[in-house]
Amino acid sequence: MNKRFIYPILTVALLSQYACKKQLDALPTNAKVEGNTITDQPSANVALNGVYFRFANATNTATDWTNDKVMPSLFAGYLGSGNGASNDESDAFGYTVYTSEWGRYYSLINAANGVNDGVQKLADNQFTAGRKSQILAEARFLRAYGSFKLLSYFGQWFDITSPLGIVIENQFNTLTNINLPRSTVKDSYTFILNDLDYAIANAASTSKNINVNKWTAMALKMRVLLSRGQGDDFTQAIALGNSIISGSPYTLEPNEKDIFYTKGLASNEVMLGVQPQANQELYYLNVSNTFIGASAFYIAKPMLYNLLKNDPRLSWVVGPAVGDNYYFIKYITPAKQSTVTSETAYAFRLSEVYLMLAEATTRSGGDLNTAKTNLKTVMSKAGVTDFSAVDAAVTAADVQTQIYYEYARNFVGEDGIEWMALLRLPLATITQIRPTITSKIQYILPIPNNEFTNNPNFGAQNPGYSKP
Amino acid sequence: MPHQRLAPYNADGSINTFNGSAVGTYASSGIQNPLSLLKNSVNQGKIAAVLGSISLEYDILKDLKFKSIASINYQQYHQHDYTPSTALVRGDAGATSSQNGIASQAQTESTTFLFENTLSYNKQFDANNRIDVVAGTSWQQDKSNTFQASGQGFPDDQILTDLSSAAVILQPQSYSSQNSLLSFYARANYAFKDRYLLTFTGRSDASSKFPAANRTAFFPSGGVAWRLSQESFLKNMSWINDLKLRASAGYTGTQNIGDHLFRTLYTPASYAGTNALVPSQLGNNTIKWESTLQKDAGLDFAFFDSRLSGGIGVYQKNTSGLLFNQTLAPSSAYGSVIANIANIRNRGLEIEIRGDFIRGKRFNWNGSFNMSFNRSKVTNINQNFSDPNESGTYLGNTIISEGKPLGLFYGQQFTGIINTPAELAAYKKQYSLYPYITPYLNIGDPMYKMSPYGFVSSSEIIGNAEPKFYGGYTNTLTYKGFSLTTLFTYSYGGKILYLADINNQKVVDLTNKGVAILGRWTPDNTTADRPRLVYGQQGNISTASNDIYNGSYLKLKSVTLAYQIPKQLMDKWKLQSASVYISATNLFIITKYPGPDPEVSNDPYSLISGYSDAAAYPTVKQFSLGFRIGL
Repeated sequence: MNKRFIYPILTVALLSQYACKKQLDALPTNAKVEGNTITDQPSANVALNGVYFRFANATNTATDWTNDKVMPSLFAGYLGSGNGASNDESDAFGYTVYTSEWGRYYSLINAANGVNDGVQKLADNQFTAGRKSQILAEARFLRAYGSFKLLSYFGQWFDITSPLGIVIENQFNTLTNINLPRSTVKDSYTFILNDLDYAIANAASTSKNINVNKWTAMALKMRVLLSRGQGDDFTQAIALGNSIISGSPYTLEPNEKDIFYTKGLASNEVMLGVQPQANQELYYLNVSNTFIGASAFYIAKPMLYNLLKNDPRLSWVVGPAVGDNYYFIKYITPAKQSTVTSETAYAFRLSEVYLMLAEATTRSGGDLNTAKTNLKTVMSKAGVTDFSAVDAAVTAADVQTQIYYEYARNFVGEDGIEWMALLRLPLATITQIRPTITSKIQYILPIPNNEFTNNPNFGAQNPGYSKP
Repeated sequence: MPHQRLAPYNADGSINTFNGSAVGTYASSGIQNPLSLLKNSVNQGKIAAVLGSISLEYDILKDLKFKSIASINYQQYHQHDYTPSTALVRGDAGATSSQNGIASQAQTESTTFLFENTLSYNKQFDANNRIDVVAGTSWQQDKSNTFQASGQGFPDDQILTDLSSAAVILQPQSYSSQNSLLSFYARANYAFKDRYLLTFTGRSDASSKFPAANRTAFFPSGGVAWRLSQESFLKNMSWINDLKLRASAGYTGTQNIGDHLFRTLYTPASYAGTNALVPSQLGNNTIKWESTLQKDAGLDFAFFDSRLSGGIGVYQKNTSGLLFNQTLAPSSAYGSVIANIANIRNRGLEIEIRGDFIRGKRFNWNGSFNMSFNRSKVTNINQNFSDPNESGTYLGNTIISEGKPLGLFYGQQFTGIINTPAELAAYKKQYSLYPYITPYLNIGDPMYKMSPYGFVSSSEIIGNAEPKFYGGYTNTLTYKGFSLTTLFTYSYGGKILYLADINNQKVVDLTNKGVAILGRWTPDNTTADRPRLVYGQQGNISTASNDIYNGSYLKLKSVTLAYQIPKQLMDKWKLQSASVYISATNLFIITKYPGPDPEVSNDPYSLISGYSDAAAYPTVKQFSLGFRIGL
């Protein structure tokens, strides 16, 4: 055999082996892979912004808080669909479309876990002083925010002894740690509060109001404590409320209307909000346009009109009639173009802290006059001068109902604040205010079918709803 | 409900944009007026390709050859689109205005590179012994890059539709992909007296689509054949022309999946004006090649001067580690993950008989009939993704379940229409949760099998898509230069899920429905087997047994009449060959299936799904007339 040819062939074959190995291992060029994503402080900040991206329910075109603004107000009876009423408006949730929220918040939680796991693996000296624990605090706040939303809409948050809590996700998902069973309500609360305690201890004390700081963490903890309502939860909430009001850089907006009509995130009352993407106001399918019927169409129902009938806010929250209903003009009027302000969404405002403080005082058996003072402070910023209904409330239960009405007037169409406040009232009072709710089944939504079909370990469906 | 007719033009002669309000529905359910596309749209693709290959052959010895081939297939593809201002376009949430037109230009560059080296050895030792061996290696790489720019808002629909005229620049897009495959292989054939034939092949493949640990797989196979007709004890049976027994067994591998699916990915995004990275894909670093062990045995024959010929074959295919996108629970934060989800066994029998019924000088008639029986069974399910109580993996409308065949439909068991107050009361009693699920439940609504918990059970097996048998018959008649070839195909016993039928049972807007909707229950039509309609309410309408139909059919798949120009004429015209033909496909079908065509699949390339009729375009009736000339 001719050796002149054998050796070159062998050499080429061996060399190509090496080149092939490199090509077979080639990484994608359009994405990063886990392991090269979070490597230092700048890349950790980019990944953290990905968690905010999920928080904002964003695409690169637009942030979308339609469901935050509309869904709970639909359940509470104040908003409705302008294209024909849905079962959601009468609190029959068996076929609700809003089970999509379940997956949405798990995407947020997973992104937060990616940052939490990735940043913890890095050495402290890769960060400027304190930034590492701040990033972790923000990630854990966002994880707690998502987990609490899930517990509020899909778990029996109102019953601390219930086994029907959420699936606790505390690690970045891999093939081996998905498909967990749902945890108890008690454990779900503990998980959320642990994250918030970490966030309160480690988050920055000031930040832009599209990012999280320790004051927003305290405000979220108040929401969680009011829902749980066990032991000294109300006392803790009172302490948190007082320290936010006295220590935080936020102040009540002198005229509530200005937040929604002119200032947006520039208002000093806004503790945490969602900033629209660039040019989102020009985007046809944006959130504002759903209030003027551009694609989906959400309107204010007579119940909101009646709630605000004698309130100065009627003029800028409830607009012209559409059939039996009205335009909902808190963000946009029918004649108006969407703007950056109309596309902004609000997760936490200082007014809520005042109302939560009043509610905690009332429910803990504290001084009703202190509670009423805080309530009136908030109402006065909306231009209310007639406090006769508040003055007439003498029992703690009546005061809590009055606080609920202010939650509704103030926070309708924002982030489910009035819906959760309604459900914190006794069932008999709820049925009086919202006659379609006659059972605690209607406090929460069914777990979506695809959770059961694809997660064999999940566990039981919420009572009253079907499981495939 | 009255029929609605939409005028293609407005009163002023402009094109009617069928937006939501014109159609009487949500803006998101508007319809694109086809006329607007016909008038001013652009959809132009240009392709430039270079195909090149060089090869080197060297005879090392008389019987030993070395061959090296390098080839490249390079393509540039340019796509130019313009959607005019009068056409609705698909946005994130349904139909939306094109806002004075959308234009886009995209450029794709793709390269396939192949480098192959083989050594082959061919030797005829003596009259009775022959061997040939090929051993080689190949390297294949596919790369592609796409860039797309688009703009919106144009001054007119006719002239200024170039990207430079756009008022708004839309987000540019770019994609790239790459995969490679490195293979080593060998094949050996040995023949003894042309009676006993032996084949062995083996190949080792390494694909970039799999994680390093599972990248390489080895696929051996081998076969034997015995030509009985060459044996001396049969040689003098003159009516046997050919008789061959064959058997083979071997592995094949499949890697028909996307690139980088085994990696967990973060995709770039932006929020609040700064960069973001968002988890977008869950990786599965345990995936491996899908492999199939196929065993075949068969008998081929030709008797009576080859007037009767055919074959009978049996096979068993054991596919292990079927690669499929497994849907994930929403709590996992990802939609799906690639996985080796199941092992599947297919067994079958194939029969083919060909006959030359008439062999004449002028007239010939022959036919070929075949029939196949296939039975599938899921032999194992990856327990990571299935419910241990049900031992099944749910795939949309079907379920694969251990010990059961493929193609099981999964949904609600329809039990009838509520026709009397007594039936309604009894059904409501069973269905204790109806106030939270379908609060307007009343006479005319459908009834379904209940779960024990007071609601409709949606986990019933409601049909099997697998046909009992299928096949075809080809008939050929020739007379002088004319030939008439007819192909019939048939399938018996399979079921199809007619998805469009589900939509024909509910009305949530005013868009078009199938005529089946006319047969719904009304107070005047109480014998209907289709439920009543309540505008905006869909009650319990979902995949159910009344949407599953018998998919058996007999189809005239094609018929061709050809005329071969006589030899004398061709010689005169100096042509090698010349013929004229007329042919038609899909002329008629005999079936009870209510959809347009029972021969449909929503996923024709999948081993384990594709039994649903998602309003797919039916196979076309096609008539063609042709000339074939060889110079």
